[in-house]
Amino acid sequence: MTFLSLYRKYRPRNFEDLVGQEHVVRTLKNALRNKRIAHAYLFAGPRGTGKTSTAKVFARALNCVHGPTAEPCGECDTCKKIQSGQSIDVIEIDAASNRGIDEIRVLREKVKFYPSEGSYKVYIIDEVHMLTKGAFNALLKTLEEPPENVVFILATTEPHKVIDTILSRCQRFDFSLLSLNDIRARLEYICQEEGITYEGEALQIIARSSKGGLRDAISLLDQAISYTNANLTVADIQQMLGKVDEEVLNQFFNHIINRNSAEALELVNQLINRGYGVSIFVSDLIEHARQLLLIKECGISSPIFDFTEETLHRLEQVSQSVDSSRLIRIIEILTGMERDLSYTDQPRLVIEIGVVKMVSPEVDSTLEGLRTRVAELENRLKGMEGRKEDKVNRASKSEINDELDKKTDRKIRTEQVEKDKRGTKISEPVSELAATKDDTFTITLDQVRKAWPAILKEVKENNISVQAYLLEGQPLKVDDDTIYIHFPEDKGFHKKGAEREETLIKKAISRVLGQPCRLKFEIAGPKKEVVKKKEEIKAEDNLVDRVVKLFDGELIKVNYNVLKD
Amino acid sequence: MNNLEKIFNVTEDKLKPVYLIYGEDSYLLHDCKKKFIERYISDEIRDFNYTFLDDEVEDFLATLKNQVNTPPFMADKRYIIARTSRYFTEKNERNSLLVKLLQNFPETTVLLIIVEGKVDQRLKVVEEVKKIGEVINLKPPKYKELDKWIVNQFKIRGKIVDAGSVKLLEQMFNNELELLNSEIEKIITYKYDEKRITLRDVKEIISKDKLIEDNIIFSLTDALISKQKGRAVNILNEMIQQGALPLRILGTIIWQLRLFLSVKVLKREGKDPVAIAKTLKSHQYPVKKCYHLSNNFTEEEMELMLERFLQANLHIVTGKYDARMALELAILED
Repeated sequence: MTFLSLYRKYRPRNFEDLVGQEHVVRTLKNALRNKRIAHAYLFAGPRGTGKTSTAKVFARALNCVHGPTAEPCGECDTCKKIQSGQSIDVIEIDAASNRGIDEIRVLREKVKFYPSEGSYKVYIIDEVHMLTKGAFNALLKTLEEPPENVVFILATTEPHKVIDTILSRCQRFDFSLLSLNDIRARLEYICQEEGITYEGEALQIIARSSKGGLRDAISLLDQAISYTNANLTVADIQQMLGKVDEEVLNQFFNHIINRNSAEALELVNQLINRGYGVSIFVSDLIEHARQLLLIKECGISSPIFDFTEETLHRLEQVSQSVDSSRLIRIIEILTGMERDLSYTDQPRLVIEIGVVKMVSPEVDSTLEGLRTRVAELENRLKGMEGRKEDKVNRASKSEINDELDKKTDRKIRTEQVEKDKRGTKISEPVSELAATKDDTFTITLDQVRKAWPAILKEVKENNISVQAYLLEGQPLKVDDDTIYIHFPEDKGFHKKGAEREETLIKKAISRVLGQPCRLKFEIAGPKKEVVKKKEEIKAEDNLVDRVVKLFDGELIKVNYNVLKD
Repeated sequence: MNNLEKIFNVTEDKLKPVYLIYGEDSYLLHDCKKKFIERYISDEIRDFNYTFLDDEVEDFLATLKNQVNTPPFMADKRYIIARTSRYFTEKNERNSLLVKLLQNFPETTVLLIIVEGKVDQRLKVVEEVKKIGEVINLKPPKYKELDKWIVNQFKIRGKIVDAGSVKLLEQMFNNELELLNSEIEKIITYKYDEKRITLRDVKEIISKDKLIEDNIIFSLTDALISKQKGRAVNILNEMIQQGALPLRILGTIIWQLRLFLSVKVLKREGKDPVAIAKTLKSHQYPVKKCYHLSNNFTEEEMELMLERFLQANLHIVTGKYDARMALELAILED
């Protein structure tokens, strides 16, 4: 007998042979048993998940002499003919190469004839998404009212390319990627049938590199059997696939994480000398880093990992010693390397540079470099403490502005301090607060109030909408260097708006008053009267405002807190 | 469905000569045709006194005229079903032929005209039909009617279905009866031996990419904005395993994040969900969902997240990462 590749030899012959897709198989079997056969089916799913196989089994089940039956015998004439692709009632069309309207017209002509051998005429149209628009429409008419005893099975990897009107006329089944266990079980079965000795882990590796497609897995198995002479060991398989042992990957990552560049480079050197391809190694590293990251984020109990318990624990251990942001950075470097590798004729150089980058992000590991970095960190820490104290910042965006603002503030302040009190507390950065707390801030509430229209004008010049926010507020209290601006209870929106533009307002105030200050925006306490007669008071409010402006007076009625104070 | 009783609740001799049925939903039209045949055209007369015509055939009008004017053979009536999408919907220079035919319509013929699409009521032909027959518009059911329809579909197949499943089916397929019909048929075949259909059964077998797009993706964005990164990655991988395309997932995530952001901004301006849905020209259901969840994050966080996913898109199209990796990183990064 001529050699038959494994995946053809082990093409499923009946529903029991189909791997995974339980719900599809169950539905189809029920349809056969209970004669609820639809005119058209659409099988959608990634490659190697059993679409065409299922279609063929289904065709056989329909046409078997005992059929329609859920268990085609596989021995009768029709079964055998369908199996070998010789049946005239089961027509397989590859839509990728017969995609025109003419081919479909021919099909339409032939559809009318009754099946000659079996009881059903089955059209299996593979890769149906490749049909042209015209062809789709021609097919549509046939699908709409198919003659009796004709079943269409459309298979596609890309259902979204199939037009809606076709979709709505088919009973659709979705084929999902096969789980690692399903694939491994099938591989084990084939190995046993073929009398091949194997290591469980070896099949696991094959299954994993097939990424959920059974056909790829079986092809790889076929290749592996020839390569290893029917004795599958982990080492052989890894060699065949050019894969690096997981233990080595773990080692490599440990070196990287511990910033041990010498050892990591040595490891790379060894691998290259042993003849491993650099690009495969890098893509393995990427996958490995991804697993580490996922384990870190999702925990090892997550269903997305198809590893053995043992492997998972090992991975978890490695992942614990590194934080996510570093892993993400490592992945970035690795993918960058992967790209560079396709342009370079010196892959070794690329990977070596990559290793150095991963080990020391700043590359500079001299004492000087470290010193500056430590200093930087210290500064950043101090900044964080200061920020905690004043609690002014809320949104992260305005942080940067604030930072800038503070710097200018500090400048102004220090200048003033120098003027007033010859160089007292300038050197300590933390005393910045203290410096403003004591008598350098001399502005009183009265001053602020008097200057308020000027401040508003200043703000308006910068940004008119901010002035609109601020119009609703009133300065009510000055405590140390902080000006409290109160907003009426129903003006929360304006308060928020003002908060967002705090820096701008601060600048305006410091320009008008000649001194930097802090701001606090608050909502005033409940206003009982206002609640009662809102409308009346609104009208009154306008009047009051005008009066206040005219006489430069103050509004006391709104806030009871002030009276308490 | 009441209009249809005009056809099906009369005895054969009371049938009007012409019925014009039209609508967008091909399932309903098809169903109506089937029922008409079952009700009036018995097997005995089918061979000699029934003709089905499609406007795809050459000289459709001539054949139609010929058939209409042929007297019945060994029976009282002759039945013709004509399906067209070209006549009755817009002005057609050959309409006058139809008008003539309708004006001299033989009493012994019953003509059922099925028009896929919208009939133009102003046309003279349509008026002629109204004079001697009925014009019926078939509309697919909505809301409660749709609920009833779905439950009934299960019932006539001998199954009981719970409210959750009906809701899910409605969400998935709206009132596209043809799709609904084939999904229901599939569900029933799947659970043929059981009388009761549960939500879990429906979820297991229902067409996936609808489910993924509309439902699961919500739990993904849910996880994202409640900052459960691990869960988000799990859901993502589950979706890919089930055959969803990463780029499509990305597209939907971006769409949803934009929706979230818009809802959040409009909420700040004091609008309620209904008004927001109107402004955004979006369906109320997702808007309401976003509305309730919008306190979990600030506008800024939202913007940053949106930016990360847009960045991921760039990475994918420029080939920096493969699609799944890009998505995962976008989820995990801060």
